[in-house]
Amino acid sequence: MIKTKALQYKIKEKKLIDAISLTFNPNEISMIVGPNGAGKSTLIQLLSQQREPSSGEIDFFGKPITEIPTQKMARVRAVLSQNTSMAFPLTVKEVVMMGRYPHFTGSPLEKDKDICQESMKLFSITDMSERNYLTLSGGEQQRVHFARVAAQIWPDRTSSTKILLLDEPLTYLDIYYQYEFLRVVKQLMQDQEMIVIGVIHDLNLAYQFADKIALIANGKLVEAGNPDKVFTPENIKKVFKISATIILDDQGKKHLSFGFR
Amino acid sequence: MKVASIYTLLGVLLVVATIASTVYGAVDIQLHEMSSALKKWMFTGEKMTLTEQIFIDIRLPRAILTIVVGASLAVGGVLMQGLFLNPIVEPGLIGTSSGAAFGAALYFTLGAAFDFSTGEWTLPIAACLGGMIATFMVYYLSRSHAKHSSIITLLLIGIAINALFLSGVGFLSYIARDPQARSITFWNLGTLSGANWQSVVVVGITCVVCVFFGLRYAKQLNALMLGEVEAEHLGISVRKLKMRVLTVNVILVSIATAFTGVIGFIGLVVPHLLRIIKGSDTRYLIWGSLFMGALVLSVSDILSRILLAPAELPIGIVTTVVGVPVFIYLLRKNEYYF
Repeated sequence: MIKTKALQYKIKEKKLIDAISLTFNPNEISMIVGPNGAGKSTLIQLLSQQREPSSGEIDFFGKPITEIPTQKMARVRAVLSQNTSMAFPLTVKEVVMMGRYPHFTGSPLEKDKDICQESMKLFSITDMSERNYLTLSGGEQQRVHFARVAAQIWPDRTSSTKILLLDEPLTYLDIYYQYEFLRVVKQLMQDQEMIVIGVIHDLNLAYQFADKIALIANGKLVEAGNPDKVFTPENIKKVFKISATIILDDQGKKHLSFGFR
Repeated sequence: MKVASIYTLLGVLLVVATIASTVYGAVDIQLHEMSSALKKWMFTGEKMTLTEQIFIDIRLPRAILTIVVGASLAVGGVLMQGLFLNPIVEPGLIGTSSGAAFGAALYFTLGAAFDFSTGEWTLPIAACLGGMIATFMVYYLSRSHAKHSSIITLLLIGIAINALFLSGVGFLSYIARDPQARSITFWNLGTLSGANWQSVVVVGITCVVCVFFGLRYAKQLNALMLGEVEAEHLGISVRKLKMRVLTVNVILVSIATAFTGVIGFIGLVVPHLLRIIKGSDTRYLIWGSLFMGALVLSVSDILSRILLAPAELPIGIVTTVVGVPVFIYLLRKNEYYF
Protein backbone atom coordinates (compact mmCIF):
# COMPACT_ATOMS: atom_id res chain seq x y z
CA MET A 1 0.00 0.00 0.00
CA ILE A 2 1.16 3.52 -0.76
CA LYS A 3 0.38 6.36 1.63
CA THR A 4 1.02 10.02 1.05
CA LYS A 5 1.19 11.97 4.28
CA ALA A 6 0.44 15.70 4.10
CA LEU A 7 2.34 15.85 0.85
CA GLN A 8 3.36 19.35 -0.21
CA TYR A 9 5.29 20.60 -3.22
CA LYS A 10 6.20 24.26 -3.62
CA ILE A 11 7.97 26.19 -6.34
CA LYS A 12 9.02 29.49 -4.76
CA GLU A 13 5.95 30.28 -2.65
CA LYS A 14 3.39 28.68 -4.96
CA LYS A 15 1.94 25.46 -3.61
CA LEU A 16 1.42 23.06 -6.51
CA ILE A 17 0.52 20.23 -4.17
CA ASP A 18 -0.96 21.22 -0.84
CA ALA A 19 -1.38 18.82 2.08
CA ILE A 20 -2.54 15.79 0.11
CA SER A 21 -2.99 12.63 2.17
CA LEU A 22 -4.14 9.62 0.20
CA THR A 23 -3.99 5.85 0.49
CA PHE A 24 -3.57 3.65 -2.57
CA ASN A 25 -4.35 -0.02 -2.03
CA PRO A 26 -3.15 -3.10 -3.90
CA ASN A 27 -5.57 -4.55 -6.44
CA GLU A 28 -7.14 -1.16 -7.00
CA ILE A 29 -6.98 1.21 -9.92
CA SER A 30 -6.91 4.76 -8.62
CA MET A 31 -7.41 7.63 -11.00
CA ILE A 32 -6.45 11.22 -10.27
CA VAL A 33 -8.77 13.68 -11.99
CA GLY A 34 -9.05 17.44 -11.97
CA PRO A 35 -8.96 20.48 -14.23
CA ASN A 36 -5.86 21.72 -16.05
CA GLY A 37 -3.19 22.96 -13.66
CA ALA A 38 -4.73 21.14 -10.69
CA GLY A 39 -1.45 19.34 -9.93
CA LYS A 40 -2.31 15.87 -11.26
CA SER A 41 0.95 15.34 -13.10
CA THR A 42 2.94 16.89 -10.25
CA LEU A 43 1.39 14.35 -7.89
CA ILE A 44 2.41 11.49 -10.22
CA GLN A 45 5.91 12.97 -10.47
CA LEU A 46 6.14 13.02 -6.67
CA LEU A 47 5.03 9.39 -6.56
CA SER A 48 7.61 8.45 -9.21
CA GLN A 49 10.30 10.44 -7.30
CA GLN A 50 10.96 12.56 -10.32
CA ARG A 51 10.36 15.47 -7.94
CA GLU A 52 11.08 15.66 -4.23
CA PRO A 53 8.29 16.87 -1.94
CA SER A 54 8.86 20.14 -0.07
CA SER A 55 7.34 18.51 2.99
CA GLY A 56 5.37 15.44 3.90
CA GLU A 57 6.32 11.94 2.86
CA ILE A 58 5.36 8.93 0.79
CA ASP A 59 5.29 5.50 2.43
CA PHE A 60 5.46 2.20 0.59
CA PHE A 61 4.18 -0.51 2.94
CA GLY A 62 5.08 1.57 5.98
CA LYS A 63 8.58 2.47 4.82
CA PRO A 64 9.45 5.95 3.55
CA ILE A 65 9.99 5.58 -0.18
CA THR A 66 13.21 7.62 0.00
CA GLU A 67 14.82 4.85 2.07
CA ILE A 68 14.34 2.26 -0.69
CA PRO A 69 17.26 2.12 -3.17
CA THR A 70 16.44 3.44 -6.66
CA GLN A 71 17.45 0.20 -8.34
CA LYS A 72 15.17 -1.84 -6.07
CA MET A 73 12.30 0.58 -6.64
CA ALA A 74 12.72 0.26 -10.42
CA ARG A 75 12.09 -3.48 -10.15
CA VAL A 76 8.63 -2.94 -8.69
CA ARG A 77 7.59 0.47 -9.98
CA ALA A 78 7.07 1.41 -13.62
CA VAL A 79 6.01 4.77 -15.01
CA LEU A 80 4.29 5.34 -18.32
CA SER A 81 4.05 8.87 -19.63
CA GLN A 82 2.30 10.64 -22.41
CA ASN A 83 4.96 10.67 -25.06
CA THR A 84 8.49 9.46 -25.03
CA SER A 85 10.74 10.63 -27.81
CA MET A 86 13.84 8.77 -28.83
CA ALA A 87 17.04 10.11 -30.28
CA PHE A 88 18.31 7.01 -32.09
CA PRO A 89 16.94 4.14 -34.14
CA LEU A 90 16.34 1.00 -32.09
CA THR A 91 14.20 -2.02 -32.87
CA VAL A 92 10.90 -2.48 -31.07
CA LYS A 93 12.35 -5.57 -29.38
CA GLU A 94 15.27 -3.57 -28.00
CA VAL A 95 12.98 -0.87 -26.58
CA VAL A 96 10.79 -3.47 -24.86
CA MET A 97 13.91 -5.13 -23.40
CA MET A 98 14.74 -1.84 -21.63
CA GLY A 99 11.90 -2.68 -19.27
CA ARG A 100 13.97 -5.62 -18.05
CA TYR A 101 17.13 -3.52 -17.46
CA PRO A 102 16.55 -3.17 -13.71
CA HIS A 103 16.36 -6.97 -13.45
CA PHE A 104 19.65 -8.11 -14.98
CA THR A 105 23.28 -7.03 -15.14
CA GLY A 106 25.23 -7.55 -18.34
CA SER A 107 23.21 -9.52 -20.87
CA PRO A 108 19.51 -10.44 -20.63
CA LEU A 109 18.67 -13.93 -19.37
CA GLU A 110 16.30 -16.35 -21.11
CA LYS A 111 13.68 -15.35 -18.57
CA ASP A 112 13.94 -11.70 -19.60
CA LYS A 113 13.64 -12.59 -23.28
CA ASP A 114 10.57 -14.72 -22.57
CA ILE A 115 8.93 -11.92 -20.63
CA CYS A 116 9.53 -9.48 -23.50
CA GLN A 117 7.95 -11.95 -25.93
CA GLU A 118 4.92 -12.39 -23.68
CA SER A 119 4.58 -8.68 -23.16
CA MET A 120 4.75 -7.93 -26.89
CA LYS A 121 2.12 -10.59 -27.48
CA LEU A 122 -0.11 -8.99 -24.86
CA PHE A 123 -0.04 -5.65 -26.66
CA SER A 124 -0.17 -7.26 -30.14
CA ILE A 125 3.14 -5.82 -31.32
CA THR A 126 4.94 -9.14 -31.93
CA ASP A 127 4.72 -8.59 -35.70
CA MET A 128 6.70 -5.38 -35.48
CA SER A 129 9.36 -6.61 -33.04
CA GLU A 130 12.18 -6.25 -35.60
CA ARG A 131 11.03 -2.88 -36.93
CA ASN A 132 12.75 0.44 -36.28
CA TYR A 133 10.88 2.18 -33.46
CA LEU A 134 11.31 5.58 -35.13
CA THR A 135 9.35 4.48 -38.21
CA LEU A 136 6.22 3.61 -36.20
CA SER A 137 3.15 5.80 -35.86
CA GLY A 138 2.50 7.62 -32.58
CA GLY A 139 -0.07 5.08 -31.46
CA GLU A 140 2.20 2.15 -32.30
CA GLN A 141 5.07 3.76 -30.41
CA GLN A 142 2.89 4.15 -27.36
CA ARG A 143 1.97 0.45 -27.48
CA VAL A 144 5.69 -0.36 -27.55
CA HIS A 145 6.06 1.63 -24.32
CA PHE A 146 3.06 -0.19 -22.84
CA ALA A 147 4.89 -3.45 -23.52
CA ARG A 148 8.14 -2.06 -22.11
CA VAL A 149 6.48 -0.91 -18.90
CA ALA A 150 4.56 -4.18 -18.54
CA ALA A 151 7.83 -6.10 -18.97
CA GLN A 152 9.35 -4.01 -16.19
CA ILE A 153 6.74 -5.06 -13.63
CA TRP A 154 5.90 -8.45 -15.13
CA PRO A 155 4.47 -10.99 -12.63
CA ASP A 156 7.34 -12.97 -11.11
CA ARG A 157 7.81 -15.23 -8.15
CA THR A 158 8.72 -12.42 -5.77
CA SER A 159 5.73 -11.60 -3.65
CA SER A 160 6.34 -7.85 -3.71
CA THR A 161 3.52 -5.59 -4.80
CA LYS A 162 4.11 -3.85 -8.12
CA ILE A 163 3.28 -0.20 -8.80
CA LEU A 164 2.17 1.18 -12.15
CA LEU A 165 2.04 4.96 -12.51
CA LEU A 166 0.27 6.36 -15.55
CA ASP A 167 0.77 9.98 -16.54
CA GLU A 168 -1.93 10.55 -19.16
CA PRO A 169 -0.70 7.66 -21.29
CA LEU A 170 -3.90 7.37 -23.33
CA THR A 171 -4.00 10.89 -24.74
CA TYR A 172 -2.97 10.08 -28.31
CA LEU A 173 -4.64 6.70 -28.62
CA ASP A 174 -7.86 5.93 -30.38
CA ILE A 175 -10.79 4.65 -28.36
CA TYR A 176 -10.08 0.98 -29.11
CA TYR A 177 -6.57 1.08 -27.68
CA GLN A 178 -7.67 3.19 -24.71
CA TYR A 179 -10.07 0.42 -23.64
CA GLU A 180 -7.71 -2.33 -24.72
CA PHE A 181 -4.89 -0.90 -22.60
CA LEU A 182 -7.01 -0.62 -19.47
CA ARG A 183 -8.32 -4.16 -20.07
CA VAL A 184 -4.74 -5.48 -20.26
CA VAL A 185 -3.83 -3.62 -17.07
CA LYS A 186 -6.71 -5.38 -15.34
CA GLN A 187 -5.46 -8.67 -16.72
CA LEU A 188 -1.98 -8.05 -15.27
CA MET A 189 -3.62 -7.28 -11.93
CA GLN A 190 -5.16 -10.75 -11.89
CA ASP A 191 -1.71 -12.36 -11.87
CA GLN A 192 -0.12 -10.34 -9.10
CA GLU A 193 -0.71 -7.70 -6.48
CA MET A 194 -0.56 -4.31 -8.14
CA ILE A 195 -1.20 -0.72 -7.26
CA VAL A 196 -2.26 1.28 -10.31
CA ILE A 197 -2.36 5.07 -10.08
CA GLY A 198 -3.18 7.11 -13.14
CA VAL A 199 -3.89 10.61 -14.33
CA ILE A 200 -6.66 10.65 -16.87
CA HIS A 201 -8.60 13.38 -18.62
CA ASP A 202 -11.57 11.39 -19.81
CA LEU A 203 -13.92 11.27 -16.82
CA ASN A 204 -16.07 8.56 -18.41
CA LEU A 205 -13.07 6.30 -18.90
CA ALA A 206 -12.15 6.91 -15.27
CA TYR A 207 -15.71 6.10 -14.24
CA GLN A 208 -15.63 2.76 -16.08
CA PHE A 209 -12.27 1.47 -14.93
CA ALA A 210 -11.34 3.12 -11.62
CA ASP A 211 -11.94 1.57 -8.24
CA LYS A 212 -11.08 4.84 -6.61
CA ILE A 213 -11.07 8.45 -7.74
CA ALA A 214 -9.08 11.33 -6.27
CA LEU A 215 -10.52 14.64 -7.38
CA ILE A 216 -8.04 17.49 -7.00
CA ALA A 217 -8.15 21.20 -7.74
CA ASN A 218 -5.52 23.92 -7.09
CA GLY A 219 -3.22 21.35 -5.55
CA LYS A 220 -5.76 20.36 -2.91
CA LEU A 221 -7.75 17.17 -2.50
CA VAL A 222 -11.45 17.89 -3.05
CA GLU A 223 -12.86 14.42 -2.62
CA ALA A 224 -11.62 10.83 -2.72
CA GLY A 225 -13.51 7.58 -2.82
CA ASN A 226 -15.32 5.30 -5.24
CA PRO A 227 -16.51 6.84 -8.52
CA ASP A 228 -20.15 7.03 -7.39
CA LYS A 229 -19.14 9.03 -4.35
CA VAL A 230 -16.81 11.43 -6.19
CA PHE A 231 -18.56 11.96 -9.54
CA THR A 232 -21.56 13.85 -8.24
CA PRO A 233 -22.99 16.72 -10.28
CA GLU A 234 -22.14 19.03 -7.35
CA ASN A 235 -18.46 18.04 -7.23
CA ILE A 236 -18.10 18.31 -11.00
CA LYS A 237 -19.79 21.69 -11.09
CA LYS A 238 -17.56 22.95 -8.28
CA VAL A 239 -14.27 21.76 -9.82
CA PHE A 240 -14.77 21.76 -13.61
CA LYS A 241 -17.35 24.61 -13.77
CA ILE A 242 -19.59 22.55 -16.01
CA SER A 243 -22.92 20.82 -15.41
CA ALA A 244 -23.05 17.05 -15.46
CA THR A 245 -25.88 14.56 -15.64
CA ILE A 246 -25.50 10.90 -14.85
CA ILE A 247 -27.03 8.62 -17.48
CA LEU A 248 -27.61 4.89 -17.14
CA ASP A 249 -27.08 2.93 -20.36
CA ASP A 250 -29.02 -0.22 -21.17
CA GLN A 251 -26.32 -2.37 -19.58
CA GLY A 252 -26.66 -0.44 -16.34
CA LYS A 253 -23.34 1.36 -16.71
CA LYS A 254 -23.16 4.96 -15.59
CA HIS A 255 -21.98 7.71 -17.94
CA LEU A 256 -21.48 11.40 -17.45
CA SER A 257 -22.97 13.83 -19.89
CA PHE A 258 -21.76 17.41 -19.80
CA GLY A 259 -23.13 20.77 -20.84
CA PHE A 260 -23.50 24.41 -19.79
CA ARG A 261 -26.80 24.76 -18.08
CA MET B 1 23.43 -9.08 -41.40
CA LYS B 2 24.21 -10.69 -38.07
CA VAL B 3 26.27 -8.72 -35.57
CA ALA B 4 28.91 -11.46 -35.46
CA SER B 5 29.39 -11.34 -39.23
CA ILE B 6 29.71 -7.53 -39.10
CA TYR B 7 32.53 -7.87 -36.56
CA THR B 8 34.18 -10.62 -38.62
CA LEU B 9 34.02 -8.59 -41.82
CA LEU B 10 35.41 -5.48 -40.13
CA GLY B 11 38.09 -7.58 -38.46
CA VAL B 12 39.24 -9.11 -41.74
CA LEU B 13 39.30 -5.71 -43.46
CA LEU B 14 41.27 -4.30 -40.53
CA VAL B 15 43.92 -7.02 -40.80
CA VAL B 16 44.26 -6.36 -44.55
CA ALA B 17 44.50 -2.60 -44.00
CA THR B 18 47.07 -3.02 -41.25
CA ILE B 19 49.28 -5.25 -43.39
CA ALA B 20 48.94 -2.83 -46.29
CA SER B 21 49.86 0.08 -44.05
CA THR B 22 53.06 -1.66 -42.89
CA VAL B 23 54.01 -2.63 -46.47
CA TYR B 24 53.69 0.79 -48.12
CA GLY B 25 56.05 3.61 -47.37
CA ALA B 26 59.32 5.18 -48.42
CA VAL B 27 60.74 1.65 -48.31
CA ASP B 28 58.41 -1.18 -49.28
CA ILE B 29 58.71 -4.05 -46.86
CA GLN B 30 58.02 -7.63 -47.96
CA LEU B 31 55.98 -10.03 -45.85
CA HIS B 32 58.94 -12.40 -45.33
CA GLU B 33 60.98 -9.50 -44.03
CA MET B 34 58.22 -8.72 -41.58
CA SER B 35 58.10 -12.26 -40.25
CA SER B 36 61.87 -12.53 -39.93
CA ALA B 37 61.94 -9.15 -38.16
CA LEU B 38 59.26 -10.27 -35.73
CA LYS B 39 61.15 -13.53 -35.09
CA LYS B 40 64.39 -11.70 -34.37
CA TRP B 41 62.67 -9.06 -32.24
CA MET B 42 60.64 -11.41 -30.11
CA PHE B 43 62.72 -14.60 -29.89
CA THR B 44 66.26 -14.71 -31.19
CA GLY B 45 67.40 -11.14 -30.59
CA GLU B 46 69.71 -11.32 -33.66
CA LYS B 47 70.82 -8.13 -35.32
CA MET B 48 68.23 -6.83 -37.76
CA THR B 49 68.72 -5.49 -41.27
CA LEU B 50 67.83 -1.85 -41.92
CA THR B 51 64.48 -2.77 -43.46
CA GLU B 52 63.65 -5.00 -40.53
CA GLN B 53 64.63 -2.18 -38.18
CA ILE B 54 62.30 0.21 -40.02
CA PHE B 55 59.51 -2.30 -39.72
CA ILE B 56 59.94 -2.85 -35.98
CA ASP B 57 60.71 0.72 -34.95
CA ILE B 58 58.58 2.78 -37.32
CA ARG B 59 55.97 0.92 -39.34
CA LEU B 60 54.66 -1.49 -36.74
CA PRO B 61 54.21 1.02 -33.90
CA ARG B 62 52.61 3.43 -36.35
CA ALA B 63 50.16 0.81 -37.62
CA ILE B 64 49.23 -0.21 -34.09
CA LEU B 65 48.96 3.37 -32.86
CA THR B 66 46.63 4.08 -35.79
CA ILE B 67 44.44 1.16 -34.70
CA VAL B 68 44.19 2.17 -31.05
CA VAL B 69 43.74 5.88 -31.79
CA GLY B 70 41.02 5.20 -34.39
CA ALA B 71 39.29 2.87 -31.97
CA SER B 72 39.56 5.38 -29.10
CA LEU B 73 38.14 8.29 -31.10
CA ALA B 74 35.26 6.24 -32.49
CA VAL B 75 34.31 4.83 -29.09
CA GLY B 76 34.55 8.36 -27.70
CA GLY B 77 32.03 9.41 -30.34
CA VAL B 78 29.63 6.62 -29.35
CA LEU B 79 29.84 7.56 -25.68
CA MET B 80 29.29 11.26 -26.33
CA GLN B 81 26.39 10.77 -28.74
CA GLY B 82 24.77 8.43 -26.25
CA LEU B 83 25.31 10.76 -23.33
CA PHE B 84 24.09 13.88 -25.08
CA LEU B 85 21.24 12.07 -26.85
CA ASN B 86 22.32 13.82 -29.97
CA PRO B 87 23.62 12.21 -33.14
CA ILE B 88 25.78 15.17 -34.15
CA VAL B 89 27.96 15.23 -31.06
CA GLU B 90 31.59 14.26 -31.22
CA PRO B 91 34.31 14.63 -28.61
CA GLY B 92 35.33 17.88 -30.27
CA LEU B 93 32.00 19.47 -29.48
CA ILE B 94 32.31 19.50 -25.71
CA GLY B 95 35.74 21.01 -25.52
CA THR B 96 37.93 17.90 -25.33
CA SER B 97 39.85 18.38 -28.58
CA SER B 98 40.02 22.17 -28.47
CA GLY B 99 41.22 22.05 -24.88
CA ALA B 100 43.86 19.51 -25.84
CA ALA B 101 44.87 21.67 -28.81
CA PHE B 102 45.20 24.69 -26.52
CA GLY B 103 47.35 22.72 -24.09
CA ALA B 104 49.61 21.68 -26.93
CA ALA B 105 49.80 25.20 -28.38
CA LEU B 106 50.64 26.63 -24.96
CA TYR B 107 53.38 24.06 -24.63
CA PHE B 108 54.86 24.96 -28.02
CA THR B 109 54.90 28.73 -27.43
CA LEU B 110 55.94 28.65 -23.77
CA GLY B 111 58.55 26.04 -24.57
CA ALA B 112 60.04 28.43 -27.10
CA ALA B 113 59.76 31.48 -24.85
CA PHE B 114 61.27 29.99 -21.69
CA ASP B 115 63.37 27.38 -23.42
CA PHE B 116 62.50 24.60 -20.95
CA SER B 117 63.51 21.04 -21.57
CA THR B 118 61.18 19.39 -24.00
CA GLY B 119 60.98 15.82 -22.82
CA GLU B 120 59.03 13.23 -24.76
CA TRP B 121 56.17 13.31 -22.28
CA THR B 122 55.67 17.04 -21.87
CA LEU B 123 53.54 17.55 -24.96
CA PRO B 124 51.10 14.66 -24.32
CA ILE B 125 50.71 15.71 -20.69
CA ALA B 126 50.05 19.34 -21.64
CA ALA B 127 47.48 18.32 -24.24
CA CYS B 128 45.80 15.84 -21.92
CA LEU B 129 45.52 18.42 -19.14
CA GLY B 130 44.09 20.97 -21.58
CA GLY B 131 41.45 18.50 -22.77
CA MET B 132 40.46 17.61 -19.23
CA ILE B 133 40.27 21.21 -18.05
CA ALA B 134 38.09 22.25 -20.98
CA THR B 135 35.74 19.27 -20.68
CA PHE B 136 35.23 19.61 -16.95
CA MET B 137 34.75 23.36 -17.32
CA VAL B 138 31.91 22.58 -19.73
CA TYR B 139 30.49 20.04 -17.34
CA TYR B 140 30.60 22.17 -14.21
CA LEU B 141 29.40 25.39 -15.84
CA SER B 142 26.36 23.62 -17.25
CA ARG B 143 25.47 21.97 -13.97
CA SER B 144 22.48 23.67 -12.42
CA HIS B 145 20.86 23.26 -9.05
CA ALA B 146 17.92 21.45 -10.59
CA LYS B 147 17.92 17.69 -10.31
CA HIS B 148 18.30 17.39 -14.06
CA SER B 149 20.93 19.60 -15.60
CA SER B 150 19.80 20.07 -19.14
CA ILE B 151 21.70 18.41 -21.93
CA ILE B 152 20.97 21.39 -24.19
CA THR B 153 22.69 23.73 -21.73
CA LEU B 154 25.66 21.39 -21.66
CA LEU B 155 25.89 21.45 -25.44
CA LEU B 156 25.59 25.24 -25.71
CA ILE B 157 28.24 25.79 -23.07
CA GLY B 158 30.37 23.26 -24.95
CA ILE B 159 30.13 25.38 -28.07
CA ALA B 160 31.09 28.52 -26.10
CA ILE B 161 34.06 26.90 -24.33
CA ASN B 162 35.18 25.43 -27.65
CA ALA B 163 35.16 28.88 -29.24
CA LEU B 164 37.13 30.23 -26.31
CA PHE B 165 39.87 27.61 -26.49
CA LEU B 166 40.05 27.75 -30.28
CA SER B 167 40.55 31.51 -30.18
CA GLY B 168 43.21 30.84 -27.56
CA VAL B 169 44.93 28.52 -30.01
CA GLY B 170 44.51 31.20 -32.70
CA PHE B 171 46.09 33.82 -30.46
CA LEU B 172 49.03 31.59 -29.61
CA SER B 173 49.73 30.74 -33.23
CA TYR B 174 49.44 34.46 -34.05
CA ILE B 175 52.11 35.46 -31.53
CA ALA B 176 54.28 32.40 -32.12
CA ARG B 177 57.42 32.56 -34.27
CA ASP B 178 57.78 30.33 -37.26
CA PRO B 179 58.90 26.88 -36.07
CA GLN B 180 56.43 26.95 -33.17
CA ALA B 181 53.60 28.30 -35.30
CA ARG B 182 54.18 25.48 -37.76
CA SER B 183 54.19 22.94 -34.94
CA ILE B 184 50.85 24.26 -33.70
CA THR B 185 49.33 24.08 -37.17
CA PHE B 186 50.71 20.62 -37.79
CA TRP B 187 49.46 19.38 -34.43
CA ASN B 188 45.99 20.83 -35.05
CA LEU B 189 45.76 18.84 -38.26
CA GLY B 190 46.84 15.61 -36.62
CA THR B 191 49.76 13.34 -37.35
CA LEU B 192 50.63 9.74 -36.72
CA SER B 193 54.28 10.14 -37.63
CA GLY B 194 55.40 10.48 -34.03
CA ALA B 195 54.38 6.92 -33.24
CA ASN B 196 56.69 4.86 -31.06
CA TRP B 197 56.23 1.88 -28.76
CA GLN B 198 55.78 4.10 -25.74
CA SER B 199 52.79 5.90 -27.24
CA VAL B 200 51.35 2.57 -28.43
CA VAL B 201 51.47 1.19 -24.89
CA VAL B 202 49.96 4.28 -23.25
CA VAL B 203 47.14 4.78 -25.76
CA GLY B 204 46.52 1.02 -26.00
CA ILE B 205 46.15 0.48 -22.27
CA THR B 206 43.95 3.57 -21.95
CA CYS B 207 41.78 2.34 -24.78
CA VAL B 208 41.30 -1.13 -23.29
CA VAL B 209 40.47 0.20 -19.82
CA CYS B 210 38.08 2.88 -21.10
CA VAL B 211 36.29 0.49 -23.45
CA PHE B 212 35.86 -1.94 -20.57
CA PHE B 213 34.08 0.80 -18.59
CA GLY B 214 32.18 1.98 -21.66
CA LEU B 215 30.76 -1.51 -22.10
CA ARG B 216 29.71 -1.53 -18.45
CA TYR B 217 27.64 1.61 -19.03
CA ALA B 218 26.21 0.37 -22.35
CA LYS B 219 22.89 -0.75 -20.91
CA GLN B 220 22.42 2.51 -19.03
CA LEU B 221 23.26 4.54 -22.14
CA ASN B 222 20.64 2.55 -24.03
CA ALA B 223 18.04 3.43 -21.41
CA LEU B 224 19.08 7.08 -21.64
CA MET B 225 17.87 7.08 -25.26
CA LEU B 226 14.36 7.23 -23.79
CA GLY B 227 15.27 10.51 -22.10
CA GLU B 228 16.64 11.36 -18.68
CA VAL B 229 13.35 11.04 -16.83
CA GLU B 230 12.49 7.64 -18.29
CA ALA B 231 16.02 6.41 -17.58
CA GLU B 232 15.56 7.32 -13.92
CA HIS B 233 12.31 5.39 -13.89
CA LEU B 234 14.38 2.40 -14.95
CA GLY B 235 16.47 2.86 -11.81
CA ILE B 236 19.42 4.71 -13.33
CA SER B 237 21.06 7.63 -11.58
CA VAL B 238 21.48 9.92 -14.59
CA ARG B 239 23.71 12.40 -12.79
CA LYS B 240 26.20 9.70 -11.79
CA LEU B 241 26.05 8.15 -15.23
CA LYS B 242 26.85 11.47 -16.93
CA MET B 243 29.81 12.11 -14.66
CA ARG B 244 31.23 8.63 -15.16
CA VAL B 245 30.80 8.52 -18.93
CA LEU B 246 32.28 12.00 -19.27
CA THR B 247 35.30 10.95 -17.24
CA VAL B 248 35.84 7.82 -19.31
CA ASN B 249 35.47 9.82 -22.51
CA VAL B 250 37.77 12.65 -21.55
CA ILE B 251 40.54 10.23 -20.59
CA LEU B 252 40.06 8.18 -23.76
CA VAL B 253 40.02 11.12 -26.16
CA SER B 254 42.58 13.38 -24.45
CA ILE B 255 45.20 10.65 -24.28
CA ALA B 256 44.71 9.63 -27.91
CA THR B 257 44.70 13.28 -29.02
CA ALA B 258 47.75 14.03 -26.90
CA PHE B 259 49.94 11.71 -28.98
CA THR B 260 48.54 12.44 -32.43
CA GLY B 261 47.02 15.91 -32.45
CA VAL B 262 43.45 16.67 -33.45
CA ILE B 263 41.95 14.07 -35.79
CA GLY B 264 38.40 15.03 -36.62
CA PHE B 265 35.35 13.25 -37.95
CA ILE B 266 36.20 9.69 -36.89
CA GLY B 267 34.10 10.09 -33.75
CA LEU B 268 31.21 11.43 -35.77
CA VAL B 269 31.14 9.30 -38.90
CA VAL B 270 31.96 5.85 -37.51
CA PRO B 271 29.02 5.57 -35.07
CA HIS B 272 26.71 6.84 -37.83
CA LEU B 273 27.87 4.19 -40.28
CA LEU B 274 27.36 1.51 -37.66
CA ARG B 275 23.87 2.74 -36.82
CA ILE B 276 22.92 2.53 -40.46
CA ILE B 277 24.22 -1.03 -40.70
CA LYS B 278 22.51 -2.34 -37.62
CA GLY B 279 20.74 0.04 -35.25
CA SER B 280 21.85 1.84 -32.10
CA ASP B 281 22.35 -0.74 -29.38
CA THR B 282 25.24 0.78 -27.41
CA ARG B 283 27.06 -2.51 -26.80
CA TYR B 284 27.09 -3.20 -30.55
CA LEU B 285 28.16 0.39 -31.29
CA ILE B 286 31.12 0.18 -28.90
CA TRP B 287 32.38 -3.14 -30.25
CA GLY B 288 31.70 -2.07 -33.82
CA SER B 289 33.48 1.27 -33.30
CA LEU B 290 36.57 -0.49 -32.02
CA PHE B 291 36.91 -2.28 -35.35
CA MET B 292 35.53 0.36 -37.66
CA GLY B 293 37.32 3.31 -36.04
CA ALA B 294 40.59 1.41 -36.36
CA LEU B 295 39.80 0.46 -39.96
CA VAL B 296 38.81 3.96 -41.07
CA LEU B 297 41.87 5.54 -39.52
CA SER B 298 44.19 2.87 -40.98
CA VAL B 299 42.81 3.44 -44.46
CA SER B 300 43.07 7.22 -43.99
CA ASP B 301 46.67 6.80 -42.88
CA ILE B 302 47.52 4.80 -46.01
CA LEU B 303 45.87 7.50 -48.12
CA SER B 304 47.73 10.26 -46.29
CA ARG B 305 51.03 8.58 -47.22
CA ILE B 306 50.34 7.72 -50.86
CA LEU B 307 48.33 10.74 -52.07
CA LEU B 308 51.24 13.19 -52.07
CA ALA B 309 54.07 10.63 -51.88
CA PRO B 310 56.85 11.02 -50.93
CA ALA B 311 55.36 13.86 -48.82
CA GLU B 312 52.79 13.05 -46.19
CA LEU B 313 49.41 14.75 -45.74
CA PRO B 314 48.31 15.55 -42.19
CA ILE B 315 45.92 12.74 -41.24
CA GLY B 316 43.23 15.11 -39.91
CA ILE B 317 42.84 16.57 -43.40
CA VAL B 318 42.31 13.12 -44.90
CA THR B 319 39.72 12.03 -42.33
CA THR B 320 37.83 15.29 -42.78
CA VAL B 321 37.94 15.30 -46.56
CA VAL B 322 36.80 11.68 -46.72
CA GLY B 323 34.41 12.02 -43.79
CA VAL B 324 32.43 15.08 -44.82
CA PRO B 325 31.01 13.79 -48.14
CA VAL B 326 30.19 10.42 -46.61
CA PHE B 327 28.47 12.16 -43.75
CA ILE B 328 26.43 14.50 -45.96
CA TYR B 329 25.47 11.64 -48.27
CA LEU B 330 24.25 9.59 -45.33
CA LEU B 331 22.24 12.45 -43.88
CA ARG B 332 20.54 13.12 -47.19
CA LYS B 333 19.59 9.48 -47.64
CA ASN B 334 16.16 9.54 -46.12
CA GLU B 335 16.21 6.23 -44.31
CA TYR B 336 17.90 7.89 -41.41
CA TYR B 337 15.63 9.32 -38.77
CA PHE B 338 16.28 11.94 -36.17
